[in-house]
Amino acid sequence: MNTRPDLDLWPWLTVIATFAGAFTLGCFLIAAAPIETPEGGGVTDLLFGSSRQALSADLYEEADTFFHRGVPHHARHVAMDTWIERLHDVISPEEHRHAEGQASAEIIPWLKLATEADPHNIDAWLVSAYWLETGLDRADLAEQTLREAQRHNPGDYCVLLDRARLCIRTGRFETAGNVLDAALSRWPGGLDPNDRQSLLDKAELLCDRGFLDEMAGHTNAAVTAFKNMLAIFPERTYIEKRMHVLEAGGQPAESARALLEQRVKRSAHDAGAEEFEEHDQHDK
Amino acid sequence: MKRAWTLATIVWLEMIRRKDIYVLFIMLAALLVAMIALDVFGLGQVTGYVKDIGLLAAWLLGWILAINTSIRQLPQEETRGTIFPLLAKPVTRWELIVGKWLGVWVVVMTAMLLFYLTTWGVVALKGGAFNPLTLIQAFVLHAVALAVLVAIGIALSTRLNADAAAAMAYVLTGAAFAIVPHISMLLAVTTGLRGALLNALYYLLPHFELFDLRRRLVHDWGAAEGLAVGGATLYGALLTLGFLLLAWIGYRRKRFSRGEIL
Repeated sequence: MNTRPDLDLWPWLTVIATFAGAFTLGCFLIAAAPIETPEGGGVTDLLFGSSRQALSADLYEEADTFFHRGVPHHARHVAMDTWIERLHDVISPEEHRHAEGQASAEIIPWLKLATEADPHNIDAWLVSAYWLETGLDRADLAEQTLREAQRHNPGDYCVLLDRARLCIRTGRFETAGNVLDAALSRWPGGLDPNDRQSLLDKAELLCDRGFLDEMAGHTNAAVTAFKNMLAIFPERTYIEKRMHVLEAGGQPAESARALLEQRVKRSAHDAGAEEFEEHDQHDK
Repeated sequence: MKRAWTLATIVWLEMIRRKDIYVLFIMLAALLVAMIALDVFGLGQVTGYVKDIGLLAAWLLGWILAINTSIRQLPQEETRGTIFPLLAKPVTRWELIVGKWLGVWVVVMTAMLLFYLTTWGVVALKGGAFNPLTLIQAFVLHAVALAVLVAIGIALSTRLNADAAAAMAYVLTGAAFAIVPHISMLLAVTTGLRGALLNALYYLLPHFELFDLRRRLVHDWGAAEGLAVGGATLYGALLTLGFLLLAWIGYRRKRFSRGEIL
């Protein structure tokens, strides 16, 4: 008779424990490792690049699910009307609702985990900063997050654009100008310079830079920035008219500061609309 | 029923002797402690992720525990040869099956209670809270799901050895967890023979999603209507009874040869 206790659970437990240990260790190692540029790659990127990206994307998706109060953006679209479906709808509600107020803070841990899993997940960094600033009213933590993002992604201009706008919202215009210059020097980063989104971003950078120069009294620099922007999008007639007024030595009707503040204004509602609701648009 | 209860107590004693539950409990506790250690900008009362991960772990560990303990009950009696003295006693095979099911279910449910209490404790430690009524509803429906899982494990082990029964049980229940909730969507775009097959699967496979109240619990949707919880409980009870009957049909005429076993 076999008196040895059965150990048939151990293989499963070993696999789960090993996976959990590897994940935890991986997170610590990534945080402690010297920063690699995205272009540079590195051993961890080489070995775990894709799996880390997939995990990070999943965690980002989970943040989106938390924003929609547990209802994934690819929620079921059921065509059947059976008692099972009716019961399911009561047990697991699928109404379209957003986390509001303090509840929006619940998405932050998932975004933090997403950035820890893949520090090159720029969207996760930006959305995290967005919610810290708008949902929780913690501009200090948002800036800390963007600085951390910049440390991990020194060649990315999007992080710098967001940081510059955060500086503008908090009234640090000189710092904002410096950060914008750094962003312009890094444009287009890893993106195609002819890609519409990267061109739009460059136009945004130039426009913000122009308004900041105008505020500082550097009219010639402002005109140059606006000219460069119009070279990309000549159809922006409002900026064109403003540029002509400045060139003629005049004073535009609307102040640069008011326009700039309007451009960079953010609210929790905007955050929802601009970021996670992109998913909703895709679904529709 | 008294004899089934006695058999169940033997299962409990055996489970206490084995270390499975302690190991699983330590794993859950370690996971939750890791969650506590995660510093999220020092934000207090952000506990949604702890609730989500804690309850997910409870479901996963409960699934593993329910399958692994249920599939070995009958094959273990057979390989050890203890089935002969057991059946020599005035115990019917139905009582044996019900006794084994009851024993495993109570043990797994107790482990689950421990998992829920641990998760609740960790959430409370971080300054969060669960809606008490939703928590009770979630636990009750989880216990019903475990009853079905244990019944499936017992049913499969009546005609398969422990390893084969485990594999089959994981495939069957894994499919039920992952695929069955989406069959209704697939049916909208599937016709003909495939549609008929999907329709059959839709009604034949257990709908474990009807026992999962995690969304309500984690995202504060409030308690579910009592009627819905009652309906899901009744559905689970019928499924359990169905699988236990299948187990009995598979086991009532099974012959054991001492020579083959020993």
